[in-house]
Amino acid sequence: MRRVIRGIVIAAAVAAVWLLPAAIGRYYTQMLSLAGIYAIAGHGLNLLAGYTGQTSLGHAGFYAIGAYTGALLATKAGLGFWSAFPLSMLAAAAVGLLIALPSFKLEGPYLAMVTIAFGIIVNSILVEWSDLTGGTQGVLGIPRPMIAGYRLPLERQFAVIVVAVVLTTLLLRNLMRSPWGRAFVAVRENPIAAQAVGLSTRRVKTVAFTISAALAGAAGHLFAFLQGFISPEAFEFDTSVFFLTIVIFGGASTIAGPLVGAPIMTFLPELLQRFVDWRLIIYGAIIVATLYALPRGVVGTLVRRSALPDSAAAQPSSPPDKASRRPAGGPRPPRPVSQPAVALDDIRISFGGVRALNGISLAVEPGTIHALIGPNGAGKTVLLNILCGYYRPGAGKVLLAGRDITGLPADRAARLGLARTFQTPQLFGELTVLQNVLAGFPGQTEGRLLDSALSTRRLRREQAECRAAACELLSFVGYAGDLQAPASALPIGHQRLVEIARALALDPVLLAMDEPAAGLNPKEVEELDELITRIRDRGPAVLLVEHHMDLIMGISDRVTVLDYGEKLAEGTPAEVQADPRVVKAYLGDEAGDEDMDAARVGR
Amino acid sequence: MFQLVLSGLAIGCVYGLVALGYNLTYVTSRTLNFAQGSALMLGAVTALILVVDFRWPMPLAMAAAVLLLGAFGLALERLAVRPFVSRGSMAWVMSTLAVGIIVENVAQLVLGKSPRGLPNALAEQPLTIAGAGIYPLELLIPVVVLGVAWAARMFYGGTMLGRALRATAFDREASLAVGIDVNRMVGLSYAFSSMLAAVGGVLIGPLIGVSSTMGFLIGLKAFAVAIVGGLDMPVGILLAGLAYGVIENLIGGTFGSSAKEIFGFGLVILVLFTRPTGLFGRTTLRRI
Repeated sequence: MRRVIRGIVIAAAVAAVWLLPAAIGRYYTQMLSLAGIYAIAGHGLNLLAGYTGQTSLGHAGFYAIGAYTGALLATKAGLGFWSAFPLSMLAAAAVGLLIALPSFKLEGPYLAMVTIAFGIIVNSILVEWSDLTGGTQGVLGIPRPMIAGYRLPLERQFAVIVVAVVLTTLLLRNLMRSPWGRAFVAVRENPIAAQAVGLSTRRVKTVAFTISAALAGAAGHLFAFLQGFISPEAFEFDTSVFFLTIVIFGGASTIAGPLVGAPIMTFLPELLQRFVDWRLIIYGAIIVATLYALPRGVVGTLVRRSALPDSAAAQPSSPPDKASRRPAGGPRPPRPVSQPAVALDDIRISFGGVRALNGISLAVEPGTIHALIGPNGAGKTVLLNILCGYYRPGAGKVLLAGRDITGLPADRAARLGLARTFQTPQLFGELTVLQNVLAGFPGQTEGRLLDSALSTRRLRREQAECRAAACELLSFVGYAGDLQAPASALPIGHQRLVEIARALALDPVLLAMDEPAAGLNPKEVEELDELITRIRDRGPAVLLVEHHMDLIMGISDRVTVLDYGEKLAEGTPAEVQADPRVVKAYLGDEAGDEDMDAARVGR
Repeated sequence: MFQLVLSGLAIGCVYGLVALGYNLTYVTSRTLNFAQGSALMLGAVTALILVVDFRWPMPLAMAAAVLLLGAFGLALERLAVRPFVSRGSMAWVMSTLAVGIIVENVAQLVLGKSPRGLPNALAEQPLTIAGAGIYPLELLIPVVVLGVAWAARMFYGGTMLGRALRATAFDREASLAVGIDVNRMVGLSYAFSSMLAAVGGVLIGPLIGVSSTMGFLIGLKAFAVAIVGGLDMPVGILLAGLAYGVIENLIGGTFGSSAKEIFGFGLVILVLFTRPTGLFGRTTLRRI
């Protein structure tokens, strides 16, 4: 039945696209075609600026590259619309890649500057290189597309553009439902956590930038063949601002946003035609008014829900009771027990002359809970940051199951099996609980870009497996709340559990936890106590930084005490508690031989 | 050659001055005023109207224009920045850009499309120094800019208000805790930033002519200068401004004025690729 309805809807849509131009006349067909082109460019910019959070003010540059590549190939090299199309996209994508690769370190305004500069340079080159581009005159006489020897009139070119819009929309929707969609939003929401789940922020940003540029190029190509002529005027800074307006007005980070924003922003100036002089003033006022009245854009205001679409039908609303099998690849091969899960060798680091760590060596044996304690400022978190690749040590070595990982970036370390939770839980706030844990499974984006864009059977099967495993992990850590709640709305105790579940999704060799008991109530601490033991029994070794003495002394197999960047003591909980140097570090000289229990007053 | 350097220094000073405006708002609120170019233009247009249509004496008209732009900055912050700060960069980037568009087009309604001259006694008869012809105004610009920089230094170091502004720039939370009205400080930084742009406008107006679009490229170049110098390094920004002005003029003189933009902005991209926080910017350690 649904198939039939779907068939009828599609047939009706095809008929409408076929008949519409005759009904509305040439002028409006042309305008509507333009709106479709802008929607494609908007889709591309939405991916970059909306989902991935990298604002570009130079997209007119990529749009221009697509337009001029198409136009010049057609007028000078004799290529047609179709044969030049992939080349136009490729040219824009290649330049996008060239800009994106060195830009990965740039943030906010610095990235915006690169894109502005890029846009201005492209425009100036179009004006200057007049031998090739025709200078301010531009390129004239771009032929209309042909199909089977038949030159498409405007009405049919409109249909081509509609198809392009539909394909782009489907492609983006698939992408956003895939692991890539989660990766884009993860990089925007929390770059540190993105690295902790093994995502290379550089790779994710570069992919977003390149796809975005390719779509702008496609839009430019369509534009050139629709207009029949192009000149630099159409590719100025204003055009970049216009694309961004479409995204924001329609609703950033919504699939339908550009589809709504583009036609409104295209036809609006027409409505204002009577106020020629006032047109741009009103246009500016509308932007400001939109920002006031529709902070999430038209679509974002109408449809309030999480940042990413998810096919709701395929999702369980509560964790299943039974354990499910692990996703793609199955469990890791058994690890050799002979070597420590993690070994730190003579780690040193200083910050502006202050020695934060002064030759620390430490080994965490597999299947153990190893606690790291010490007064505030002892260097515990710095040690975790070095271990997990967030800081590069000044000297020393980090070995993960015997493999030297010193200086590897955090995302590489994570993919090799180093999981991490943070003092303040670092979740992807706009993603749901389930999406947060799903983002934790490593390798989902590797070699899966095409699968993601096409939403292949293989990808859907893998994702279903991940979903089942994510639910299992959530029930393992004892999370019983709503799976579809945005992570930012959770109370701290739940955030902690979700973060632990996400870390376990890596199937780590070692889980490093930074003060997991901070901010929890006594009952939650008790549950945590029990959870950490179960995590150890499940596989990964646990390195635990804590102040909560009851917790540590109760569950740890070994305890290392740091003080002022030096290792003060190491041993079983009983040995450490009896060590007079430890007592001194915690309670001062006078306390000489008092029991360590007194130290509990701290937290 | 010498002439190119001299006039490059003058325009570079203006870039530096406008760029300091980006620095001011960035340090207090992590926002940037993309209407800086429009503020520069508005300053010049105001001075022009007061001098030509109302026959005010030039210095008075300049002072009035700068003061008026202070009010403009306050209003801009209150209406187009403060409501959007918490919403992430895209919102305030768009709102300040939109205000820029509005201001530019209102100015065009008032002024018409063709540029008009802003009369200035110092920009009529060029002096000849070592074979280079140069307007006295071009020599005066660096003096004024240095004066403004010095006054800013005194203000920040020597007055309570200046210290409160610096405190806000240093640590917003702590400033709130000691009772500084942080919102007011951000508003003030917008006022000062627009005033700097206005000073730039009344200085450059007589040399390049006043039109509604005069501020657009200068605003973007000043942004480039602020970024290359390092958004939180005022001295770096002034130096970058001078460098940009001179280099741009030399390129323009050698390869023709249109190569200016390509090489100038190309250089900016290269600098950022090699030094992601600008030439003089510091990389701060991420706290995790």
